Amino acid sequence: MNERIRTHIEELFENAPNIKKITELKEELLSNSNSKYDDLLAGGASPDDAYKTVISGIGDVSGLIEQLKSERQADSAMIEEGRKKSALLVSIGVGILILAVAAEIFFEDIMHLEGVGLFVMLIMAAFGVGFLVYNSMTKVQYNKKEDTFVEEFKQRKVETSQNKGMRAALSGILWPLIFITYFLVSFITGAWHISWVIFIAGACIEGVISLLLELKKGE
Amino acid sequence: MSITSDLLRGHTDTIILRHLLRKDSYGYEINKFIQESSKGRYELKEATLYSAFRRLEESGWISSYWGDETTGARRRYYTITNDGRAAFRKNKLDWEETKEIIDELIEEG
Repeated sequence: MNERIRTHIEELFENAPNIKKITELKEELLSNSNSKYDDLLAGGASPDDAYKTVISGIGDVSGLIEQLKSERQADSAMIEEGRKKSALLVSIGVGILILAVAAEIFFEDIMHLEGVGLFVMLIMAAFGVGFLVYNSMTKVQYNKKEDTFVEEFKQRKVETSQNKGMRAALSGILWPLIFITYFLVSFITGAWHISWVIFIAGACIEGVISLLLELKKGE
Repeated sequence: MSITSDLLRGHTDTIILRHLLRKDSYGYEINKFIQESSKGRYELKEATLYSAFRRLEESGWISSYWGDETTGARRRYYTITNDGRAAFRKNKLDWEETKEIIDELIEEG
């Protein structure tokens, strides 16, 4: 391997980001340049002439580097898109869950339709939870495409946010259960004046579970 | 020569496909083939060649794999796909038609 050629190519890529497609391009350029250099020497050229011919044959690679860089940016734009979609799904899911409670109050306490409120609420809660589950299942998986520190850092960030996703799914399941318990207990005992403490208890349970998850992850 | 180069550049993809039809190959070998076939009158810059490879790969006309060279840097080999073969045939027909038209248009006499 000719050191002068290697140095020259290293310089061409000096300011290029260290991503897979670009390092591959560099490797390709290196191996081809060396083949050409060896071939020229074998054909009787002097090392100096061979070096000059190889270097002048490379041309301008900056445009190509720019192109590979922008392809990568398009990639992250896609991830951003996925994030927005995910946020929308969560908002809709949570919105439906809140509306479920409103519907319950409306039917039971204002329309005085016994049982209808609970029924409507459960159906709405099912839809709300459905949105949250759909979101966590279709979430864009961040694949480790590039083997750089930045990518590893991003990967770690994705893992953390997946943890958050798990917590969101947990809330999605826990809260409808809390609502159901609240209404069951209230209807059966008729103790509406005090049964609201179930919500506080629910919040505590969620907090404890999150804490346990956190501790488990820390191990 | 520069005008000829401009005309030739538009057919870089077809020229590369032509070489890959015969066998899988890598950058330097393809460029050497171009140089020899044109009797030294035409040679691509490496940068032009790699841009063409990326473009052809994106179109699905060629695909690449790494060789297992034990010494020095690895070689990246390219191979033509079925779509690439079809594209080559179409490009060739297009060129023959173009050539015919231009011949008739600029014919003296």
